[in-house]
Amino acid sequence: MAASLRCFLRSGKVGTFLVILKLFPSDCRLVTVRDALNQAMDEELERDERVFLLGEEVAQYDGAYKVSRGLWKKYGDKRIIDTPISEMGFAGIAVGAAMAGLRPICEFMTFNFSMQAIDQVINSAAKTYYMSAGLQPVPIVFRGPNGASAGVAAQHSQCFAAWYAHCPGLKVVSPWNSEDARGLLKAAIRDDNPVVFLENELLYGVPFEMSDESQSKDFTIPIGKAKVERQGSHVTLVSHSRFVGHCLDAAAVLAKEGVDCEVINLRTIRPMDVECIEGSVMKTNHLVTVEGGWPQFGVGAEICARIMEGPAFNFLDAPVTRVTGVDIPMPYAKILEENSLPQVKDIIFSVKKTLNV
Amino acid sequence: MKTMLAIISNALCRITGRSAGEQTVSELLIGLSEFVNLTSPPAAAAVPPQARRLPPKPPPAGGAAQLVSSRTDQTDRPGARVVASRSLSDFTPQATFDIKKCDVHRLEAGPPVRAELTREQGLQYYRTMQTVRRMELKADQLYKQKIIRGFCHLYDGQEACAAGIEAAINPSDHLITAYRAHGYTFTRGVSIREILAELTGRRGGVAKGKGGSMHMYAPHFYGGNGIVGAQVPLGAGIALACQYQGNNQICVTLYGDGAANQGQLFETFNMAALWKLPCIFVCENNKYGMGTSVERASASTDYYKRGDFIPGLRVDGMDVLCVREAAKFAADHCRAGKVSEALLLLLLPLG
Repeated sequence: MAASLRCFLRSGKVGTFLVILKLFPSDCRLVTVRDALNQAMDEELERDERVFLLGEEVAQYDGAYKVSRGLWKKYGDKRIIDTPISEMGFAGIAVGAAMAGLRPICEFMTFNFSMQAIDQVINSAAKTYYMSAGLQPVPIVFRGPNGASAGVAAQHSQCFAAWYAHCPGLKVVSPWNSEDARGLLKAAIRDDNPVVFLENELLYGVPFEMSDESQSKDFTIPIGKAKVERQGSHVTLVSHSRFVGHCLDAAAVLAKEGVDCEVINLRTIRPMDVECIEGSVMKTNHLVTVEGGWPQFGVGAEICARIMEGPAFNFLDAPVTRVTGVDIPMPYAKILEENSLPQVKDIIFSVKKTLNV
Repeated sequence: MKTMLAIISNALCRITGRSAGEQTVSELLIGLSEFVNLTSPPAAAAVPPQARRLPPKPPPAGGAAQLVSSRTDQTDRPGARVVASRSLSDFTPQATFDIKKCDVHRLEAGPPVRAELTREQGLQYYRTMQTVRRMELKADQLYKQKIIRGFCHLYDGQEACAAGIEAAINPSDHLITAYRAHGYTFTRGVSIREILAELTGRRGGVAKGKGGSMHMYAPHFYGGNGIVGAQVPLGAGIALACQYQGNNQICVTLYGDGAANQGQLFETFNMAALWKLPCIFVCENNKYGMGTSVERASASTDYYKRGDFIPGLRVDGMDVLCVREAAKFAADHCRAGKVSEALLLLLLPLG
């Protein structure tokens, strides 16, 4: 039911949303990822005076993707700051403010533009706590949409999970649904370390059910813990962000054919919850990783290496398969773009290949 | 060695009249310098009568008086090497000096052209600069012996900047600089021991040996930054935090003539001026960016004007009083919120 609901929703028809609202019982609320992020930021801004948001278009425009809608009206110029188009400059300013005792949220319009500022993220934010032997913490959150969008082509579609997760000193999180978004953003803002918060533009408008306990103002999800979204026994699918949804869809299709998939939502890329993956692999004996980024030196590659180095290797009945984006700059044409990213059929194909069915 | 030191300290105690147990040899020597003046006989003969130091009136502490009067009759004898004397300067509490006028950019007036210096301040600035000089020269030696590894960017020759700026700001103000940071690490309160321990990679170092030459931190001192120019946006961010918290503090952000060509500086100047951040940007121009001279690197070497819409001063960085007055002027400017911030250029002629 839930899987087909998501398929329905992803087709993007607004009318269906209203129909579904009537189908759902009233105590289970549907919240879009965008609204979940907005509420999380609102609550954290209210809770701690030192938290502030800066980035392009975050204030008067209500956010390039409307994630910060209403915040400027509520908190004003001091706490919601529109910046000029100067990523390196404002990222550095955000890091400096964090060093001096504030808790900034630095928004990049997409993480592609964070490359302009990557020196500040890595050399000024990530490494400082270590270099100063603990004298200088940098409690900052860098957030923004990551990975492929729709039709924005090569320079606006890169996934930065692997790049940032490579660096000691950073925490890297990649939420999938609204509950992930809310809990992880709150945890990230409260964390005293620099956190890279990778959202996904295509998920912003997707509504997900949110439990009642997730509505609490102190609801946080621990950074570094993955979640098993679907229990299974034949094969483990590990993914993060948007492709968790694809894995669940594939699992639904495979269930009809008698293949029982366990789907793990990583939630955090760094530090990765390897124990969760290992525990699952020791149960299912098969592993397929799914991600939107490029294959070389990526998240899937890291999972493979860690499995090999740990106890779960002896439980594998087949080599690990990685399902990734195609190793090319993202093309523009729709058919090419669709085929450059993992699709449900690719996941199903990989699972069957791994299981040799 | 120990007995020799004991002999020397006893002798010094007898001369200065202080008790043996109280002080170390170095302190006794410093104390002695207030009383003793080394002159060579030909120089003493050439001094015109009115400028010759006269035996002083007995100082309040009675002990040294007899020593003074008993030794002055030996000055004219050839071979006399030590003259105990105190001059008028020892009793002058302060003096006023004329300093160079600063060129200004987008300012109606610059800092004052006369600076007052009290005796305590003078000795303090001198001690600071001399200490930094000795530390840097020692670091140079250690680096050549390969006891300090990697990078070691020395600050000897530029001490007046550090001393002058520190004299102009409060300890509660903030400061951030690039990798030529040893001088500022000292003026911001880290002990020489911790600095040298950090440089030599020891646990007792300010960053426990994990940072090295370019990554030393202290309260209200943010390093020590290895990436050229990266510290400038950081400094503006610190200033933003000061403005946000409303604590009337400012941030002094230093960079070199090489970093002056970094794009992130201009991004920072734009935002600092737009948001009126209480930040003083200081360019320490030592005429070389790494190995390249300024004429070969910069289309415009008027660094104090390159903030464009940010007011600027060209300051003589070799004169501690000039630096102090200019920094004080800029700090008052920032704190008054009159204009957002000022850009200082400190000229440091080599050699």
